[in-house]
Amino acid sequence: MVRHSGDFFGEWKVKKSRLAVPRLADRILGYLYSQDYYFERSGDLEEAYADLVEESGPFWARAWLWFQLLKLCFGIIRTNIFWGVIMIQNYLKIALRNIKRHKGYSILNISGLTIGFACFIFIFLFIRYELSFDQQHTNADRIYNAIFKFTGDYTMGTPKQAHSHPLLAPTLLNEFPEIETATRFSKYNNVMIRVKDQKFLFDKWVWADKHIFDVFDLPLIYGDPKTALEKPFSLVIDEDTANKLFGHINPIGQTLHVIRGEEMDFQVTGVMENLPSNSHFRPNLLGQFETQNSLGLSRSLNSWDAHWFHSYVLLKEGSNAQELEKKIQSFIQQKIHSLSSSQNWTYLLLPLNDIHLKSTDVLKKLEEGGDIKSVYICSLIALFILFIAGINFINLSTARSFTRSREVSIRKVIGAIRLQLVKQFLGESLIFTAISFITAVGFVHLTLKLFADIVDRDITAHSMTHPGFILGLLAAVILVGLLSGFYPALYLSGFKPVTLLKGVLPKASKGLNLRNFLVVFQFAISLFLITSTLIISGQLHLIRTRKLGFDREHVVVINLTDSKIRRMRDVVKKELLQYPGIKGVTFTQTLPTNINWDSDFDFERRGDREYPTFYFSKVDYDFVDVFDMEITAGRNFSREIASDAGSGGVYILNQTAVEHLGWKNPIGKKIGFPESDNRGTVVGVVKDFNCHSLHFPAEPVALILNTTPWNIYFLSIKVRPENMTQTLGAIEKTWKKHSEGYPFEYYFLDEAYNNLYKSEIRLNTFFRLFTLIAILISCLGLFGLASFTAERRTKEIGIRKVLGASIPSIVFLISRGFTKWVLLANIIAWPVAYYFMNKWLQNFAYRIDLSVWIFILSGLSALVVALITVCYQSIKAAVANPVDSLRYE
Amino acid sequence: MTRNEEIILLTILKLKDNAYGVSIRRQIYQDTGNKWSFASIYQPLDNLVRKQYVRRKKGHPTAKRGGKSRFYYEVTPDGLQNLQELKKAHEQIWSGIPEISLENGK
Repeated sequence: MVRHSGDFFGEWKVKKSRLAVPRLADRILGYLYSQDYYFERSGDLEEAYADLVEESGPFWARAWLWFQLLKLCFGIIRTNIFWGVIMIQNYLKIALRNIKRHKGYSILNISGLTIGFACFIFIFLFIRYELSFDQQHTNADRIYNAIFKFTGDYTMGTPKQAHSHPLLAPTLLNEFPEIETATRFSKYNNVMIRVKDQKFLFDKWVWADKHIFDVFDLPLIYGDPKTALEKPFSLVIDEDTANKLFGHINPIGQTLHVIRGEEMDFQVTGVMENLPSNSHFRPNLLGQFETQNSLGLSRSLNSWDAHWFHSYVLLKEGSNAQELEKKIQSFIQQKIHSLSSSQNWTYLLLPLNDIHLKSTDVLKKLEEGGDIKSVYICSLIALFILFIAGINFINLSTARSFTRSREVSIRKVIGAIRLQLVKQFLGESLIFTAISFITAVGFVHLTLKLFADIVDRDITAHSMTHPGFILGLLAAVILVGLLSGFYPALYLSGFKPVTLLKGVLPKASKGLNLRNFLVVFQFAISLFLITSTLIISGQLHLIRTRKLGFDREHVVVINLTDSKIRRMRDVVKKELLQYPGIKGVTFTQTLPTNINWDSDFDFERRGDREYPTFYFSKVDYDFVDVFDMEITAGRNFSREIASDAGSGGVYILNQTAVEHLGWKNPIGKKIGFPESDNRGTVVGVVKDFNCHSLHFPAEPVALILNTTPWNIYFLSIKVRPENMTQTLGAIEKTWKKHSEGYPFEYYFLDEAYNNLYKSEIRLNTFFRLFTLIAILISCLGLFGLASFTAERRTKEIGIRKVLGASIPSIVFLISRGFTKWVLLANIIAWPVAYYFMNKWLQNFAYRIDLSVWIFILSGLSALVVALITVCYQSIKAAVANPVDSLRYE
Repeated sequence: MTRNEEIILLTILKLKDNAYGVSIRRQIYQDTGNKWSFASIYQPLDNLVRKQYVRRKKGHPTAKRGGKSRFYYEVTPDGLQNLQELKKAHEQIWSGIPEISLENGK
């Protein structure tokens, strides 16, 4: 709208009298009306105003004038809205017609955006879930987990463990006024429970003290949290367990029997609500803490020697955790170390909010957590994909500008102003985005379960109804719609109608214009993803195929809690070995893939050196043979040598352990636990093997021969790959014959090994999936751009053909430009990918080399995909009959 | 034609050569006793102009109007014809309603 001042040309210049209409009012009228209407209306108002001033004075006249003005404004706004709605209807109609008429284009465009949005929603859901861990506790920001940390000359993978001393929580509570309350609990694996004559196996039993209800929010459905864990042999169970054991009745006061050798009777004193899946600990049963005294643990429960508890403290409001941590550390050094067999440890405080995502360097956690890095990576991918989809939209829209140019011209000739056209095209892009978004939501809804399986998280459609989530997504949709519609809108609305109606498109600027820049950017992202995927897959391949120092193939593993089988182990072993399909049997404390017991060791001629800390596992005679380990010095444990079963025990160390001890000739040397007087003899040395995941280097391990029925938790059976079903059937038969009634549940060792890399495998799946999608979307965009180029150069190609150009030369001509951009994208993507992947690989002690070939391969594959995409269009343009193309337009 | 448009059209007709915004408003006030806002005059006026029942003519600027021109309105033959039809219709509708029932409201 044009604005006028009062003294417009052609009008009389009159001295403003004292009575004149306020200038602001005049100005507003100037905004409201076009030129001669302004003169009329402003004049009318001024005339009536002048009359009124005489009649009732300037104040009322002024009031009247403003009132009039207000009414005029409203009238105009009403009319504008009316016409605005009509124009919007028109835009909508045109947009829908366009979608219908250009089906191919619309499908390309909408599907690109849909995929983009779907990925975005998926990743958004995943991130939200990851960040939601442990947020159900009211005091979540004041709860801290005590993390045990080795100090001093530490030689093993990570010095941090979630296992703490049983006395830690009560001691801290007594000593430090900043701590409101503290609790600890320990896991009790594979518990078999009998109710009447039915038997159930539970894996998630913890021994907890009554403070657990003060620290965490564990609402009880039945029972009183104050007294539920008061008396020994009381038990709090969760709702699912209650239903499983007793059906849908109030189980308070019911008795159940725990089978561990002889039976123990527990009384149910409380039923708690099921813990949500986004919780870092999810026990089903809480046994009363002091009951452990009856299990023969009373001595170790009151010592500072062993640590296998999970301790949590609730700080008082306003207390500083970092200061408290320092105080605790100095307190431990001064008061506690003297009570303990070893002094090389201390404690850290880990906030509850960090347990799920920021504790990858902590061993022996209650449940394996996530990784904040993967949250960052996923957010990045989500943004990338959305970005690519947006760029795609921009490219496809501008690519079609020629078709739309006539419409634009006609609109302009009829009198549309640029703003209206911009609005029209922005509106169209919003329609496209909205359609894609709705499709994406539907798609996500249908495939959410699949996705939840891939990421191994319990994400449900329920989380999609969260208001914050909906608002966030709507904002994303509008942002994407506006941003990606903006460039096409400006580009299309900027056409000059005269040239356009003649059928001449504005010349594209050579060099790096916005569109080309976008394509480069898009491909750079795709390339980054391809390179990363190749590296991650390579690393995973390394993990899967690397020789660990022991053989993990064809080993059937059974978790063992059954005391009867432990006692009968020699009979069971003999029976099993009779089957032709079984090569070896061993009963051990840990599996070689995860030796998670550690201790300080005292050794011959230690002098005043510190006790070294080694991992250890109690094993039987057949351990080394079953896992096919290589003895480098000395000998294996042997039944024939009577002294092996002697009281001191015999040891096999690995090479790293020997190195730490600084022994030249370890055979025959004495070693043992510091607190006992018995010293064992080293009889052999095995080649180093990885007793944890490959994130860690080879660590010092001691294998200790165990001839007692204690400390046996795993039964490993080496089988022949042939006739597996028969062999498994035979194992089951033997199991049933000797077991106390535990169900026959087995798994293979290589599965257990692969489980160590769950998060890496998930990352790999993630990257593969989203790389594929990114490439797909980029190619859609490239396809559009190629058709755009081919269309614009139709005439040029025609002339070239007439003058004798061959088809390959024309294909080359068109493809050349794109090749250039893809190569440029490589140069951007390589260093970025190198930087990030190098950082990721630092997580592993054993990693692949980042060879140049990975980068070249990813560059080549992107180039090939790009060329194939472009070729379709360029060949189409090249084989076209020049007669048609010259007549074109 | 709406009722407002009809009133304005008739007023323009009545004012003959002197029909412009301020005078139309004044005349309506004199005839009906209602003070219309300018907005409610311009809206029907613009509609009438668009329907080509009235014509807009630029007049002369005066000092009282801050040196801005008046715009006079006059009824076109089209407008006249419509008015006649409207009047006929009115009479048709009104005929046969006896005074008595109007007064008693029966």
